[in-house]
Amino acid sequence: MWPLILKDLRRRLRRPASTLVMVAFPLLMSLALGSVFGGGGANDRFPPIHILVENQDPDGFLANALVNALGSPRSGDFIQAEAVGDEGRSMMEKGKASALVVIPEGFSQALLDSRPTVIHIVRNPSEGIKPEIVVLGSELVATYLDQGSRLLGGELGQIKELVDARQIPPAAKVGAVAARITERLSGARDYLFPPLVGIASAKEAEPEGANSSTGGGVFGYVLMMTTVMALLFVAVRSVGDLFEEQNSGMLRRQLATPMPVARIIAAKFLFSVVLGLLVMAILATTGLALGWLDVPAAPGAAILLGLVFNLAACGVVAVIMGLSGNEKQAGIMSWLIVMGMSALGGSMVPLQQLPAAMRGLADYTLNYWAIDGFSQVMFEGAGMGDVAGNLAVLAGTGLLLSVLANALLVRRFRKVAP
Amino acid sequence: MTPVLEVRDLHKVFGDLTAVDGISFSVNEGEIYGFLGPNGAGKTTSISMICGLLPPTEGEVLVMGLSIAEDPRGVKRLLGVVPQEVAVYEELSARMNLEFWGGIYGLKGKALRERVNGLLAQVGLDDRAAEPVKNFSGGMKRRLNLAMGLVHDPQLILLDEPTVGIDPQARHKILDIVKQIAADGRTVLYTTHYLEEAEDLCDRLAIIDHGSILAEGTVAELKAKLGEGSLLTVQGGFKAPELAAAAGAVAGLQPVEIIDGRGMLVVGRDGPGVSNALSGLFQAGLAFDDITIKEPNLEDLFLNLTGRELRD
Repeated sequence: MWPLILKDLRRRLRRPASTLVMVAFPLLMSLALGSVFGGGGANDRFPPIHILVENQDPDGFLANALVNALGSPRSGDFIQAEAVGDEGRSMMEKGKASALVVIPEGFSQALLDSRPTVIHIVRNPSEGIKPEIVVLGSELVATYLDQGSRLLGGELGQIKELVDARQIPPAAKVGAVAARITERLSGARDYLFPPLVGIASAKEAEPEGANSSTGGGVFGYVLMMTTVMALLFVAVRSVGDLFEEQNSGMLRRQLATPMPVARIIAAKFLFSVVLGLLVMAILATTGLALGWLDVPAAPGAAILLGLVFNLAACGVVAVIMGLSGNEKQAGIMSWLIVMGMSALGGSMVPLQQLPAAMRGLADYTLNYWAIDGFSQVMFEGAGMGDVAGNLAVLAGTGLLLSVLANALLVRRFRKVAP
Repeated sequence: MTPVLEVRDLHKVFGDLTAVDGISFSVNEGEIYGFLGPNGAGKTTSISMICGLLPPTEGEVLVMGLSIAEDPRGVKRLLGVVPQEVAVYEELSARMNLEFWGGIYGLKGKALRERVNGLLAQVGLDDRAAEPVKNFSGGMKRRLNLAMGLVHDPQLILLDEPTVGIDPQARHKILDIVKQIAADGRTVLYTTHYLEEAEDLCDRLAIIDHGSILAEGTVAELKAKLGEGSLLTVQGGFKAPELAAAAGAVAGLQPVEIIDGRGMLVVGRDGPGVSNALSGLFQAGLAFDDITIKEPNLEDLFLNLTGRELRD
């Protein structure tokens, strides 16, 4: 099998353009996205998004609750909110913030009366991604408030009375309202807004200060995200080489040798994994040299993750090719599935920035398991045991799909003769 | 003596199309056996079945007594296959291509290097061995294509139209290499639709069309099927029965093919001679626009057997 792998490596070395693109893509994406987010060294994380909040409902307790929530330490990881008055729009015109959030007058009362109300967001046109994140986040908050006001309309009115009384309310009255709210939330949470509750739980489960132990910079994180996608394309190119060899007559010629077709295909898989690891090594070395990454505490875990991810990537691509009717169909299907997995799995947008509904789908992508594992190993000091689940999912998927793909491709390529 | 290759009643059917229709032949050690036929005659399909790329619908292939159906890997070890298309890795050098194919057959180290060096010299590529194949001319690629099928020193070499699309000089070079291979004791099955190649190269050959062997033997034996003597071809405004009647009246003149306006006749060595034969035809009142006299060749035999020319 070694001559087959050596031959493919030599061919790739002599025709390096496509491999160089796979190496250049994550580096360029890291530079571009890292610059958008303000860059940063290995010890910087995504810089918080600076927003202005103009509260035109200063006496409304729900409006104040929203302003306080934006300014809470937990939000501070992602958002730095600055309370402003009328000067908000002129500050936006000067590009002082990513977005201006305007809470309208009567906002709280409108929610209590179940009347429609609108939060206005003014985006900074000179920034591409950050304002979009603010819009997405605000939509999330609006959904929370809308659902909450519908569910807790009566109780919110009672809370307002307690707050407006400007005196310490009786404990029994507070307890009664709290009990009713808890009862309503408990009854409704499973079917009313599972994705929102899901997100809230995930955030709250995160230990305080967990992020502060990470060492990944923006460049490093984006490099990791995009490298995972690039490795999928390496698999597409490497396994797709079987079609190229079929068209050139080389595969037919190999099939006339004593080499079994299953071994020829297995050699192509191995070549794909080896090339993927080489590309990964080049990118990791570049990341280290540029100071975008730190040497992980458990390099073995990173290498093993790379190995099983490349195997799984190869398996997915090979199954697509085995099931496709022809080379063109296989190319289009592979591209769509790689792009889809990358979009849902965190290779294009960081997982924590994805909308809740999309995050639920991330588990079904290879990208998610790889990025989650690499993220733990590279930025949180995790070891082999911490990413055992990721390793198991990727290795299991890789082995299963490789066996299936081999069977499909053996059947296909046995028919190459006229 | 066991033949190196024995093919028995081989059939291949694709749906409604019978590509190979019951061919049988055998090839002995050191022999160059030719498969002569037009494109689509079933030559490549036959080769594909012999080398195990296609399962036959019916029939059997034995290589040195081993059945391809029962021991495909054992048979494939004995075979060197040179496909019709130039199947080489263009980005690799000639040496790398040969090393790859040698490696596939288990050659390595010094044995592989020596074999590769020997072959590069044999096919005249030793001075360009390190260059990417994409820089080669068509003839050089064809020579490398041939060498790749020989790297493991096979007993039986299957050459499927190895000279298609190259200039006469490069073709002569390849034919010389094939002759040398046979002189070294290797057995060759050679398919072609070039008559000159078949006549020049093959010890024995089969004329194949529509998946069937129409005639088989040495070149001399096949030519003899047209009769000994000169081949007289006439063209004019006559009808077929008129020429047939006139030819029948001349002793020793054998009709090969007669149609309206065209006739092919053999003037036997013991017959009347060409001038007397022509006199007999003129005396019958026939007029000709064109008269050709030549020794019969395989093209004439193919025309005689199939009613059409080889390059139709």
